[in-house]
Amino acid sequence: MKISYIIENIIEAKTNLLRNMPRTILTSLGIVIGITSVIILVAITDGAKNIIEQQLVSLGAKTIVLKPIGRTASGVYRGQAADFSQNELKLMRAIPSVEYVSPIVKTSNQISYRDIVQVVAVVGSNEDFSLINDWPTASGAFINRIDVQDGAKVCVLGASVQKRFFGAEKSVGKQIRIDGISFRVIGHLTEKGLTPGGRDQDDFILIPYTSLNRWDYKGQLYGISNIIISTTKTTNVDYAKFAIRKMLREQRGLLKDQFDNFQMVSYENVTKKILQTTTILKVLLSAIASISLIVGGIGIMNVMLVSVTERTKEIGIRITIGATSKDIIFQFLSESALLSFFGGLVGISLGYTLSHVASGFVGWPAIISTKSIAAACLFSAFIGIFFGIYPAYKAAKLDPIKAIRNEE
Amino acid sequence: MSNKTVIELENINKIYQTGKNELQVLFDICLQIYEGDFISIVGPSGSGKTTLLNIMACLDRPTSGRYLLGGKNVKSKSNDDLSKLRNKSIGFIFQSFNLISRHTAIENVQMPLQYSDVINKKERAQKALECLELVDLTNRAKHHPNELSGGQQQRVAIARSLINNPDIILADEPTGNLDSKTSKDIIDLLKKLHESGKTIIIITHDESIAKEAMDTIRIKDGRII
Repeated sequence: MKISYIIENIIEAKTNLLRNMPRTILTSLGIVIGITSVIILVAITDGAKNIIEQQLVSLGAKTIVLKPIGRTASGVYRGQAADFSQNELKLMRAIPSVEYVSPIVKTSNQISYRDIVQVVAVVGSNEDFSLINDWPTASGAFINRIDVQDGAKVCVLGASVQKRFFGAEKSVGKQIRIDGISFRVIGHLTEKGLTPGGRDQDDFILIPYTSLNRWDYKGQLYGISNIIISTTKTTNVDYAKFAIRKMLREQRGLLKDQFDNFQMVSYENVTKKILQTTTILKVLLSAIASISLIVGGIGIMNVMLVSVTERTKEIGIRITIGATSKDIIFQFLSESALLSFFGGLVGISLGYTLSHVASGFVGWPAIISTKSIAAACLFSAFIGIFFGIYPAYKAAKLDPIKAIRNEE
Repeated sequence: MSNKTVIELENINKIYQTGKNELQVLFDICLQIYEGDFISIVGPSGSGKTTLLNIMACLDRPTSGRYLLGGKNVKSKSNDDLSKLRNKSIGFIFQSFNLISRHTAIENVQMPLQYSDVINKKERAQKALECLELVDLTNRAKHHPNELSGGQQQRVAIARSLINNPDIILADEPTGNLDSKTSKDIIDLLKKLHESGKTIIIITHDESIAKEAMDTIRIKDGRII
């Protein structure tokens, strides 16, 4: 079929539809309402899905926790296991789907500031800690890459430590002593509160993990016992785990029949299930909205049937002077497809606007993807063609002798 | 006139089936029309002349008998093939003009080209203008049918029938809706077309029109008399 033939039919269909504007608008109303509701519902559920995903991420949906573990061939755990090396840490960072890598070295030490002396948990980590845990500073700065490189004597206080040692006083720039060694406070973290188990998450001091070994060396080095990794996307967790495992086994020269001497914990299965639920919800809601699209399609079919009846004489003339059934079918299909496509366009812009209104009601942002807009366009044109087939076929099958005698 | 037959009917019968009743409207029609003929077919209403024209126009199929159009049997052709055949070889003129009211004169004239191989828009408009010039209506090209007189509308229809340069022109009571003065203009136009080499078949019940043709075929009760 030639392009010019299609264009010619579409232009003729456009002229016809414009000639009877009120009817065109009323006919496409069904499609408008259908597409509008699909767009709104998809936008709202996509928005909900996004919020749920964000919450899951803050609950650790993107994170993988690595721990050293030893296990014998019989499955019995050995006590001693290898810590992670600096080199392994570096290699993990190089894995494409890995975004942040944060080592965790936990200890507890005597902290003193002026006359206050307490034993507090000290966590050695790096600059990624704040990003992985989505844990910004309330004031001052977090430790940076250079602090970690240099093993600088700087620290960041948890909110509870800040309260106990400084109260409302400014801590940034002050020196505190950790086991007698002076550290400069460069910031303190926002409050996270208690865990469901009642543990105070804010009761610790964070320092570069490289500093730990420099000042606290008492014949034994602190190894990297835990690593927290976050991936670029929740869906990348599986791949990242695979790549990390492969890398670690190679680094450690583990043979095929040897078990891993490390362990990875992640929640991707839980995440998958929850996101699946929101997808089911989305499909369900758009299926309900699609019912109005079908009703709209039937409306188009109705009007096209009326249009064929009205134009019986014209069809008779056209067939007489040489139109084939293909020509007639295409003429009427162009009209119903254009009618529906027009309804689709109006529906998209209406749905776009109303999604933002609806998002105000439900209280979370609506997300309108180009994918859903493209799908709406295609679907409305499809409806127009599908429901236009019967009227167009009916027109093409008219007997020209009888049709031409029909009075307009 | 040449000896080449353009239309050849052999023992054409047409029977309409209405429920259990059979109604035969044409009985063993045999007819040969040569290239360049100007034939009128006359008969009272209900005599079967329109059915005969429809069969010659490939709009209807005979119940039995053989119809050769331009030497080719049309029996085995599909409806779409017949549409294409009509588009190329037959021009139609009707009593009630049968123009499409929402299109202008020139658009109506161009319409058969929409179903032919001519896709170039300029070429189409050019051809349509030439045909309008033949019927002396170039100044009405942009007018809609309801802005034209009956005679003008019929001239537009004639221009439309000429656009694909067909060999045969079938006119079904072309002057039936026109006054005698305008009728004469239309007949003169048809004569002019005949002189330019077209085969013209005109159906009428008006004897004064019929006698303008080279030959008259009379039909009564489905039989040529």
